[in-house]
Amino acid sequence: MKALFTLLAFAVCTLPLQAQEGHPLSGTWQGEWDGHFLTLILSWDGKTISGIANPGPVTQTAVGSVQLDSSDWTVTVDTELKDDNGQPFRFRASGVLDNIGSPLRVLNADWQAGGKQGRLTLVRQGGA
Amino acid sequence: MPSRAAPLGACLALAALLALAAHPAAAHHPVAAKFDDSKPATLRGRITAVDWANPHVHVFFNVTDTEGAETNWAVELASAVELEWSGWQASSLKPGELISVSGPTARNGSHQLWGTRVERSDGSAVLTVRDDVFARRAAPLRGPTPRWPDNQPRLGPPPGETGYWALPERTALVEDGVVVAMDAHGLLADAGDAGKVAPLQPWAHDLYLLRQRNFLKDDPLFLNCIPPSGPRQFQQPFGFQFVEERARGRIFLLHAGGNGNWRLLYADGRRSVGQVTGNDDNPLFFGRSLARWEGDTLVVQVSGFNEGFWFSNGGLPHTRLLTLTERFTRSDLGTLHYEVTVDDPGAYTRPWTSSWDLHWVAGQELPEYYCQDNRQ
Repeated sequence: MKALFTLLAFAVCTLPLQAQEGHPLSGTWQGEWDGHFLTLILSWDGKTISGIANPGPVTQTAVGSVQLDSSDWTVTVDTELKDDNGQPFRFRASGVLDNIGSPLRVLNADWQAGGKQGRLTLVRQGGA
Repeated sequence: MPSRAAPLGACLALAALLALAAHPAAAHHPVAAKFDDSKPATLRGRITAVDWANPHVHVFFNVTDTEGAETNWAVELASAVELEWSGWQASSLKPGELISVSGPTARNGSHQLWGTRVERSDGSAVLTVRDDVFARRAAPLRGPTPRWPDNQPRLGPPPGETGYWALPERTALVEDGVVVAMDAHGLLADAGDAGKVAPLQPWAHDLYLLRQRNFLKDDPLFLNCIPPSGPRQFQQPFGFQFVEERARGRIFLLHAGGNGNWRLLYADGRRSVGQVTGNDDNPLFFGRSLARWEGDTLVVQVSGFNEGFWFSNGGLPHTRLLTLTERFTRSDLGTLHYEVTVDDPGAYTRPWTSSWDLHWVAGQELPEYYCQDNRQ
C-alpha cells in the first residue's frame, strides 16, 4: 500500500502543473474518503468537465459526470472508481466549493459508495 | 478651413489633457481590497519608522489610547515612485515626528490604515499624491508618426530620443460599445453590471461577480506579484516600451509594472511551434506572440497562455483556450491605439473586442517600479 501511495504521489507530482485561475474545477484535486486516497485531475473544454481519477496502472478511470452550479458553487461528481484490485464501483459526491479565490480551494462534500457514506474534503493542488 | 481647424485642434488637445488629468493615481493593490471605507479612523501619534519602498510606502507610528496603552500602527501609502513624482522623499517625515493620519482601516482588523491624509503637527499635509501625477509627465504630443527608413512606423522612440508608453485611457477590459461605471482597478460601481462587461459564460460571470464582491482581494498580481499578462500589461500606470530588433525580426516589450517583466513578439514569419512536446506542456504567462505588419498596424496573434493570472484589472476570468489578436497602431507621435480581440471559448460565449489609446511619455526612461511578494 505504501509503495502504491508513493507511486501515486510520484505520478501526480510529475504531471504538468495545472491552472490556478481558470475554471474553478480545473486542476488536480486530492482527498480521502473512508480511508481511500482519491485524486481527480479535471479539465474544462468550454462545455464539459472531464478528466481522470486515481491515475495509475490498476486504479485509473475516466471521470464520469462532474457538474458545477456556479450560482451557489455546488459540485456533483458521479463516476466509476476502481479499488486496489481494479474492481470498479460507483462513487458519488456532492458538496460546495469553498475558498474559491485561492488556487488551494476546497470541495467539502458528502460521498456515497458501496452502500456507505461520509464526508470528504478535496483540496485543489496549487501550480500555474 | 484653417480658422476652423485651429479650434478643433485646441479642442482635441484639451480633451487629451482632460483625459490624462483624469487618470487615477495607481496603488499597488486596490485600496478597497484591503481597507474598508465604512471604517474610517483618525489617529495621532509619534513616528517610529518610515519604510520608503515600492509597491507601498509605510509609515509606522505609536498611538496612545485613553488608558495610556501604546499600539504601533502602520500607515499604507502610494508607491515610492508616485510620491517622489509628487515631490516627496524618504526624509519628508522622520522618526519622532508627531503626525495625524486619516483613512479607512484594514478589513482584517489589524492595526493598519490607508493614509488618505497625513498631517504634521502644524496641520500641513504631507505625502500626498498629486492628482496629475501621471498626466503631468506626458504633455500631449503632436507630430507625425516616427518611421524607419523603409517607412514602417517606429513603435519606440525616434532616433536619439527616449520615452515610453503609458497613461492608458482604459484600465480594465470592457467590450467596446458597453458603458459601465468602474474605478481604475476595474471594480464596478454596480456589481449588477457584471453581465454587461463581456459575453461571459455562466460560470465565468459568477466567478467575476465573486471577485468583484470580494473587492478584488484575491488578485494574484497583488498577492504574489504575478505578471500583468494579456491586455492587462497595457492597463498599468507605469507603462511599457517597445524595443524593435528588426535585424532579428523580433520586438521586445518591456514592462515597468509587475517585476520588470518582458515579452517577445516574433515578427520573422515563424509558425507557433512552441515546445517539442507541444504548447500544452508549457503554457506561459505571456503566451507566444507572432507579429506581422498590416499597413501601419502591428498585428499580434497570441496563444499558449496559462491560467495563473488575471488577464485584466477587475478580475475577468480566462482559460487556457484563450487566444488574443492584438493590433497596435501609432497614429501619431504621441498616441498608440491598442485593440484586442479576446477569443476564449472556455470562458466567453463569443469573441469580443476592447480598445483604448495610450500616450507617449517623452524624454524619460521607464520608471523603476517593482512589485514585491507580500504573501503573509
